[in-house]
Amino acid sequence: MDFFISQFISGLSITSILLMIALGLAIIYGTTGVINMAHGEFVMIGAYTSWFLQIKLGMGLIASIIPIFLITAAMGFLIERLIIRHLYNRLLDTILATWGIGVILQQFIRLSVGSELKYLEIPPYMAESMSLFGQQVSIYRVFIFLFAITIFILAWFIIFKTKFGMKLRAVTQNKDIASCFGVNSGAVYSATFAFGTGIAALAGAFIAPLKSISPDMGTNYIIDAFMVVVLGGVESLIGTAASSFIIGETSSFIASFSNDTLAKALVLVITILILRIKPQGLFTRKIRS
Amino acid sequence: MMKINIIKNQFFLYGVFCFVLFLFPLFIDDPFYLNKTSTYIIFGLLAVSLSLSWGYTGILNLGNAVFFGLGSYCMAMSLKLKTDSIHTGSGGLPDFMVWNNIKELPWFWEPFYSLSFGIFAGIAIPVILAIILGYFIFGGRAAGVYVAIITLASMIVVYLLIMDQQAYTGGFNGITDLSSLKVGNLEFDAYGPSAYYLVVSVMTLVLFLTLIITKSRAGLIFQAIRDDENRVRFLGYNVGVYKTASLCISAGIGGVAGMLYTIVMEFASPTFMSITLSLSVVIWCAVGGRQSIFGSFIGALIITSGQGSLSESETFLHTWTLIMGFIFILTVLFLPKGLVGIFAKKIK
Amino acid sequence: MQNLKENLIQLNSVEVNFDGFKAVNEFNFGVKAGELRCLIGPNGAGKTTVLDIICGKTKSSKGNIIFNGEDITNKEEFLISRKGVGRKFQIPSVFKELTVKENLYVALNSSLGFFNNIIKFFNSTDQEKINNIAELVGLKNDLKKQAQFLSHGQTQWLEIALVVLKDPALILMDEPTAGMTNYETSQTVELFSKLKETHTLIVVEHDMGFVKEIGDIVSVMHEGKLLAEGKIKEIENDAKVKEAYLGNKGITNA
Repeated sequence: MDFFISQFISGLSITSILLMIALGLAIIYGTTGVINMAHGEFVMIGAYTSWFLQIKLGMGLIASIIPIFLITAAMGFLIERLIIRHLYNRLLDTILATWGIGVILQQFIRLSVGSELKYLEIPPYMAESMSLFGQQVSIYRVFIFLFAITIFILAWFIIFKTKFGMKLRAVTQNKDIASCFGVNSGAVYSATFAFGTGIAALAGAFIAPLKSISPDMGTNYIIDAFMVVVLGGVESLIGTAASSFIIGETSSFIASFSNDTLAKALVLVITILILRIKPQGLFTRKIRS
Repeated sequence: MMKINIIKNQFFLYGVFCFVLFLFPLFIDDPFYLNKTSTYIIFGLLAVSLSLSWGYTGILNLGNAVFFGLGSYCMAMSLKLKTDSIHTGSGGLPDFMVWNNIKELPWFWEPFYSLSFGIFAGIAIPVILAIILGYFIFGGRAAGVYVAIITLASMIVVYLLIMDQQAYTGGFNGITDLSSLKVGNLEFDAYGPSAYYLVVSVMTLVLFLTLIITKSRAGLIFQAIRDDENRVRFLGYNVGVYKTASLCISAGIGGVAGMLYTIVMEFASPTFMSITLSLSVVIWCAVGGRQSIFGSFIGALIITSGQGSLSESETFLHTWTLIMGFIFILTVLFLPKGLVGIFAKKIK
Repeated sequence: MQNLKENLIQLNSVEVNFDGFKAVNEFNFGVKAGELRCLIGPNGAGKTTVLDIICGKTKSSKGNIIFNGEDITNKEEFLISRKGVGRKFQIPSVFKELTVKENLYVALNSSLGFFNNIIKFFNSTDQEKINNIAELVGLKNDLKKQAQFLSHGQTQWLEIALVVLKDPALILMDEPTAGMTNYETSQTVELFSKLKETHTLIVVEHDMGFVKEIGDIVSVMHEGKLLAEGKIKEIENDAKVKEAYLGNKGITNA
């Protein structure tokens, strides 16, 4: 029983990180159809920004949340305006363009800050563990979990309960018709992209103390994030959350009796198999094509 | 007829190009430079492999390097087993196995004692993977995005497995200290003209075979699938089979390129099936012109030789990659047909 | 020898359900061999969906479809196509980067298997067949043109050519004259008259003038069901049809 609880909690930790990364990706893809292959790099940028703010400027983690979000969202906004918006009529090419952007971001970091690993420490007031259901769990990981849930609820609220959200949903369904009704689709797209990349950066900032910071850390997460989005089905926030959970728990479970590498490989294989049976993902509705 | 002229021109163009490359060693003495040129040509073949599946059939295979990597490992396994016992450790076992306390050669290594099997496997194993992928991806009618992601994921799976099973695969270090390729009385020294001639000969064969394939009706059906796969379906074709076939041919070419690469580099490593390499191949094809076999080949040749000849310093490499990133984005935005699109309206 | 009493194609109680919305509902429909049946009705009536069901693009959740005595319900598109069903789409669906000649070569009625086609190369017999069909649809002078550079009407004809080349017993046409000029429409009327002799056609159309010129029997759909069926004159005077679709002016030449 103990074993299962500890696996479950470990899985929740993976889930929360996956959710934060995948959420931005899902929102961007679901709304604009853009496949952001640079999403991992925005996670990386968030980690480096956090490192810079904390080490060079002496800011604390909590204090740097908003600056990290804003800086990265601004970058995302610029990239959307300069590059992405030319590709809305050929969405498959966004894979290529964003991959190029990812390369540029990575190389920019390498050339400016260097490729050596950087390290951040968990904020001392969260470095202890606490007791949860009879297990010792890192307070920091609990914090990440709660933050991920909060962001998810925030996103859900914005999309379904605000006027902006309604415009977003209108633009998702039919960009041109929404424009006819006075919705500034371009602005919605830009804001969406900025928001998505901003969340990714926050994910990076939180992950940073758990492992190390390197220019290519993002590449690890991009595939996981895409698997979550693809499995969960587009246009479904709940789907994203659910598939984050499925993939997170499965990874944790498999890793418990083998190792991380094999776990990752197996999870990918299982996802591919599921997609064979349900190509649209697990949580989509049938829409007239 | 105009059309026949274009076809004749293409065969002629290819012939001249291959002939010129054959003459190369007459002007270049430096074995190191010959070796490097071999690698550029091999990358050209890798680009041809992606061009067929992406440019012609519309399958964006982001994991394309996996075929290359598998081919290279097959050749490496055969060459490793031919290496003198000084290098292979006690009892004829590859050194990394000895270091990992393996007592006996694993069953799947046994057939690689035969070089012929190694060469056969270098093509067959990538092709088998392509068939499996084809069944899962195209049988499930996955859309463009999903194909891209799943092919990438598949490559990562293979990469992870190789890294994990380091006792059997050499893991992170790969398979090193290989004997050079010996066929009968011929020895192909990686730094001699013999290896270069081998590479150019295979290149010629692959280029012409691929050209012929693109001229066949199946080659045209590939392109039709790229343009409108539903229309192809409604004309009675089993699109899944054609897409898988395209991926298989691409896999075979990639495998061949991988085998040549092991011969020329004298080792095989997991980096041969990395995301970085896959992405590079995509960039070569995008810049050169992915809908053109020749364009993709030249794109790879120009970019890799440019990179290789300018500098080896790390800072330079990073800057070069940064610039390539920019060029790639510019190409995607403004030159979807690549360089070929500027020069020729309809050269393939 | 086909039983003349039986229809070439028969739909029985088919239904298509998009997340609660029944695009096609308890739909019964049959067409005899050699007919040119027009399928008309207001937008959203389900006409395109009916064609989608027959050719396999959309699956029917109820009922069955019998073609030439065989049950083709929910089979895969390419298998249905091989049985002799051709489909022309509302938005012209041709191979844009290929030339007209290459488009036609792909559609030639020869082997479909990959291994057969990898060793097949263009020859003079193919050229002859292509010339003939190009002549029929008025594209003889455009064989070397890339399909994306054809006019809208020409693209429609190219697609019709692609469909006809496979010599299907049943041809499904979805708004073939959409976007055509009057001249192009009259050319299409001529083309259909030629096709009528040897094929069975089901044509979804909005252009009533066109329908009047080519149609034998007309089926009217409304809200996923069959509203009325009969010769054009009967339909024109049918009260239900007038209310749902035609209005009180009847079928005009507009």
